[in-house]
Amino acid sequence: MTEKTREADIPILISHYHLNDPWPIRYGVYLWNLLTGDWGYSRSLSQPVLVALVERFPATVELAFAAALWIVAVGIPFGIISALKNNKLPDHVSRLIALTGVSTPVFWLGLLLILVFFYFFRMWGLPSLPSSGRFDASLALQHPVKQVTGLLVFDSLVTGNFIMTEDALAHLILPSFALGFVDLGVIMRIMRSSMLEVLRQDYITMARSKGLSERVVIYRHALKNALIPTVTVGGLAAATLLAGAPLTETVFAWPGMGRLAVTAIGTNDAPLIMGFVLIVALILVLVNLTVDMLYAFLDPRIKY
Amino acid sequence: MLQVDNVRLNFHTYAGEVKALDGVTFTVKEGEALGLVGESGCGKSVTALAIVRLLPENAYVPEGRILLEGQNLRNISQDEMRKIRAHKIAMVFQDPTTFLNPVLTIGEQLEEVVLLTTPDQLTRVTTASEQSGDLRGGDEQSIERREETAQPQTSSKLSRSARKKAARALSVEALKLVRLPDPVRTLRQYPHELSGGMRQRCMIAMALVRNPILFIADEITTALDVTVQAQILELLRELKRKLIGSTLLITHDLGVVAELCDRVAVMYAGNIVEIAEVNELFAKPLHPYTQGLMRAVPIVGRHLKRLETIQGSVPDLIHPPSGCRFHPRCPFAFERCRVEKPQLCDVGEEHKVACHLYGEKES
Amino acid sequence: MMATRRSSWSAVIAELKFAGHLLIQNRLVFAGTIIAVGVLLVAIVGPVIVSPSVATNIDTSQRLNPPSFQYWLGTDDYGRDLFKVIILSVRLDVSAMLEIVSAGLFIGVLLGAFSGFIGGKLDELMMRITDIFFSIPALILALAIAAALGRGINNLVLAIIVVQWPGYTRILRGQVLAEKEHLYVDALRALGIGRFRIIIRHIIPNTIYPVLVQATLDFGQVILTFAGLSFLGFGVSALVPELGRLITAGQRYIFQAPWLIAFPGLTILIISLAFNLMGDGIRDILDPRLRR
Repeated sequence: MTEKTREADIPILISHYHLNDPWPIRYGVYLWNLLTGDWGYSRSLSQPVLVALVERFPATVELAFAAALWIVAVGIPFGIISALKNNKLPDHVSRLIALTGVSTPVFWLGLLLILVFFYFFRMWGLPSLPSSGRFDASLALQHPVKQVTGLLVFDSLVTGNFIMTEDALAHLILPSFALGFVDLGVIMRIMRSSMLEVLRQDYITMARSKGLSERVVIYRHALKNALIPTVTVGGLAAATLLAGAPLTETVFAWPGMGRLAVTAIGTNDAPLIMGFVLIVALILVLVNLTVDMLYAFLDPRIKY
Repeated sequence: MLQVDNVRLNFHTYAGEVKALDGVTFTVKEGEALGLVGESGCGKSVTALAIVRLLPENAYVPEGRILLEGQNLRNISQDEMRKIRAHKIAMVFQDPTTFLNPVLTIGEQLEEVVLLTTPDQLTRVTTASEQSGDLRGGDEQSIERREETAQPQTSSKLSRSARKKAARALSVEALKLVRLPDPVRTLRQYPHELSGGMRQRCMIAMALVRNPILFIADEITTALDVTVQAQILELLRELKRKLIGSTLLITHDLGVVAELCDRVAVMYAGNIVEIAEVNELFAKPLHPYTQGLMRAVPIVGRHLKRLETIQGSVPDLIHPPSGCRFHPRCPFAFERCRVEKPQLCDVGEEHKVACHLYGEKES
Repeated sequence: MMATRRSSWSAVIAELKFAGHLLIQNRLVFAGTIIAVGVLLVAIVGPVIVSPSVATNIDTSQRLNPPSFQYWLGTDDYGRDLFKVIILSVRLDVSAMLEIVSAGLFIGVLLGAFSGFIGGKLDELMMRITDIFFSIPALILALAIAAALGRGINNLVLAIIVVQWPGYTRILRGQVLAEKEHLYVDALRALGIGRFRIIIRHIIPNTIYPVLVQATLDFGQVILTFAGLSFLGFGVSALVPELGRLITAGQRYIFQAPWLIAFPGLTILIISLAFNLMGDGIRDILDPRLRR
């Protein structure tokens, strides 16, 4: 309620929001509403909360996904290399990266990245990366992207709109790296330690005694086993990625749910903030479910 | 055919240098089965690992040669050693649970061995399996498959899928050889779905399919219960002639030795203390340690008040006893034993002992 | 069977002292510890060597100077010497960090100990409550809570405390569940000693190690959360020196005066890194002791 609320409206508001009812009823109503899709109404946006969140959901997902891709594509191979070159240079480098990653404020990293890759690169005449938003607005007007999933890179790729694909990708690089950097080191270290653990196992000696090449021993025998603990940590990393989203999206003006939540704070839009928290919890539940299924896939000893 | 010549081996540890092997010397002749007996910790497994060069990082061999068919395995390159492991030496380990990869099926782990072998070796596998008269699964299909594989086709000239099919068929044959009841199904299963005895048979299959000239069995029955042990031993006895060149059988169980071996080498604290033919050793054990071992085995039916033991305990290999490593526990030890390490000497027909009580001739 | 256990509070303190000795051995950890101690010193001594009035001393003639001999890290939008402002802000961030972790620890340990020891419905309830907290990432939950509580640094600190304690509760509860099966607990109860006293004087000292280790590991993460939420606008108001807020202010001038963002952020990184290293070292040292 604000100063603008009219006197006469108050009884209507009270009955609609069950404000005078005992709290169990209010809670019950709340839960029922959630299940039927009524997540409240956002005053600041003049939209139902659910709609507002769903609109921005693909943007956040795209960002988180890209960050996850960094982590997997860089973290896992480097983790393996760290294990194989144990206690030599690559190992120390990965330890440093891991430690720094966990200690770096993600918003600061984002700003630094913008500074270097957007500003300085441009100054030095190098090709630079864009610093805000998901795409170049003027370019999008000329080459509009057909909405398929809401994921720009995917949509534009699939509809043959390669100019926009390139643009969307360029916009995605910096924020996704900033978001992923924190967990990059963590995954690297987990991969390293679980790989080392696996390489000590008896079945690796057995594999070597069969005369298999070292490459086969590592990639066929060791890797699958080493990935299991990594996947656990990966699931946890999803939580970190979502947590970093509000900060990253704010810095890069990325139109996702995180930024929505932040602006909602500014306008005191409680239903929106609650909706955001809820949807984050839901996403994490899904992610954890997927991780569990991934376990069953990797480890035949686990059956559901 | 296999000649281990004065091999010494040390481990770097935080506590000090563990002098695990102190001049181990023995030979395995072509076609024979040599038993390597000794207590836990005497260095038997380490010797085996040294032969195939799969020692842990902190181990090093300051002295000694290991000759396989005349070639010194300590001098060859990693790559050549790998080939030898694939084609010439096959090793089966003690614990089938930890030595099989839990995330790969038996089929995958068996086929990868098959795919490494040469056509030559495979012919012998298939003929052996035919000879073992296994017609339990004697339907049209399996006979066809056997004929197909009689012309082994795993040379690289063939397509990948053809190779895989041949490998699959050969794996089935190998599993039949080790008397697994349902080979085709077993191929699809994971190690944890099988019993200990079955897993051990799979490991043996993986060794057999390579048709090795040297088969090393490291305490392969120790982790199994007694009835299964008997079955495995029975299996090995059958297959010994057909598919395996020579065998190095490592065990601490004298019973196993008596069953399967032609000659026996007794090991104590990193030394070979006695080598003899099986019957000779059981009839006339010469080394005090061997005698102690023989006495320690209780005989069923004989009434005993106490179990016989060898007094004392296994020495600390970081600071091993001087001279003969057994002297602190030896009932016959005298002054020389403390000072001078005894060498292996001939004391009879194919009988060598390393003890100052016997013989002056160096072997 | 042992009827007595070693620890009392004095034993815990003695062990911690010993741990301190061992901290010196690992070089990286040592470096981290030194820096952490340095940071604490700056926090304590800061307002003495740098006058707090620097924060409110607006001098528009000196706006946005790049780093120079006179202004080591440059000046900000208000003409304040960035170096001095950072020194002042270290105090605020570090004390917030310490407050949050200690309060979270205090609440978490008590709740966890009682919940685990008494068991039953209370324990079930506590588990469900902590489950809720675990299902949402810390920063987001803290964000929502801070938004609900309103602006101001105390609310921000409170919000993060609320998010911190469940972790400690869970760890401690797990330890307590194992600990209460020990025979000495029955012995004490047989003597007629009340449960409250047993928990406080015996159970907690014996189970507190893993939680302490976790707490030292949490310092680095807490300060990042605190700075992050400050960056978004929570906590202090504009002129008050705080590292996250400095970055927010510096955002406007990112291209003209990059030092405004670079140095406060670097400070956050250094503080977090130092405490992370120290925490790692403590964990490595105390780890064998955890397997009692």
